[in-house]
Amino acid sequence: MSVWLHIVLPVFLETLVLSVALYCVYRAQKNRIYPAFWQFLFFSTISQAIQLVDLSLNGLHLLSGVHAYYIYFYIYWVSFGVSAVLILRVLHEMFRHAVRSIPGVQKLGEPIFFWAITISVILAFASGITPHTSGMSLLLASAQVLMRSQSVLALCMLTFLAFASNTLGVPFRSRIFGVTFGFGLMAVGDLGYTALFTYHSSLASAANIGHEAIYLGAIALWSAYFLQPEPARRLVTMPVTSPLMRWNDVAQTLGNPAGQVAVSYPPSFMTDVFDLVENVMGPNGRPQRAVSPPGPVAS
Amino acid sequence: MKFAIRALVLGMLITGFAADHMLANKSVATTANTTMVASISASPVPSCEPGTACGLNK
Repeated sequence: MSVWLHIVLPVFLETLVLSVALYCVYRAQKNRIYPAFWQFLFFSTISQAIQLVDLSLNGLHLLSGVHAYYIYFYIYWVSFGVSAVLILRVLHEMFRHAVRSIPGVQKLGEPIFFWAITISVILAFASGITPHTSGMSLLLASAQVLMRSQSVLALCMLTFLAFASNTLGVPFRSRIFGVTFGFGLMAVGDLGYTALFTYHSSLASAANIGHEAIYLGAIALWSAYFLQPEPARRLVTMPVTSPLMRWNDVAQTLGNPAGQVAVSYPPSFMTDVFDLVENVMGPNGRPQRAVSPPGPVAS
Repeated sequence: MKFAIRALVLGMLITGFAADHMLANKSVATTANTTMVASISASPVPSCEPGTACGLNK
């Protein structure tokens, strides 16, 4: 199989499967409920379609190999970085939906999650800046670190959902779990493939084919989750003494402006003594002149 | 079923972190060389930069 076909075939398959997933989400009318996920699918489909057109033009000899590769290189890496940011947004969205049943924890967790994402994005760009930074090296290093950050976050999020599904009332057949599982699969594929890449850097290698298969499988999984009706979310019941409920109560009260109370020094024995001394000594610190009682009138 | 899914997720987590650890070591070893950093990234066309005689020009 030629090098051209090794690149074109995966791009074509990804475009096709992404289009199907986009249709399934739209058909389930969940694009308004999961806007970040919808945007990610839309962006990925468009960027893959542009890459496909670029490669097809090269295959039809309408575009020279060098120009086609220039376009392909920059579209691939820019969309790779943007996709990583969009995936972070999707994970934030899934976290918000997952902890909806515990509003206090949701309220407290959202800013924490937001800042974790923001810091990982800043670190990604900071790591790309070296003394000899060029536009391309910044793009490659930033995209790589962003991919690693979002992959680790996706795996942590998936583990959290898998082990807290009972507490959160999120069944494994729910779309929240399905979407997160898909990103977890992609994360393992990305990390594993990138780590193995130094040993098998061929487009026809088993690692490359496996990586592509995992990607296609994750997207197909999303389609399946959005095609079937979602089971109703379980009612979360927990004992009143549960620590989670206490955390929830504490988190709900945090940040709420409560009524104000006037705080004053409580009257004490020492305060009374100070007042008495001040009355006796006067403001100068000297004994005030005692008013002598009226004496007997001399006759 | 629940146990199988949790075991699968744990396996994915361990695999992912092991790969990330390998990747971190590689990145540290090759930070000075931009080309090497690019080559260990998930590029569909390895070690190729625009204008070089590789990738589609092969």
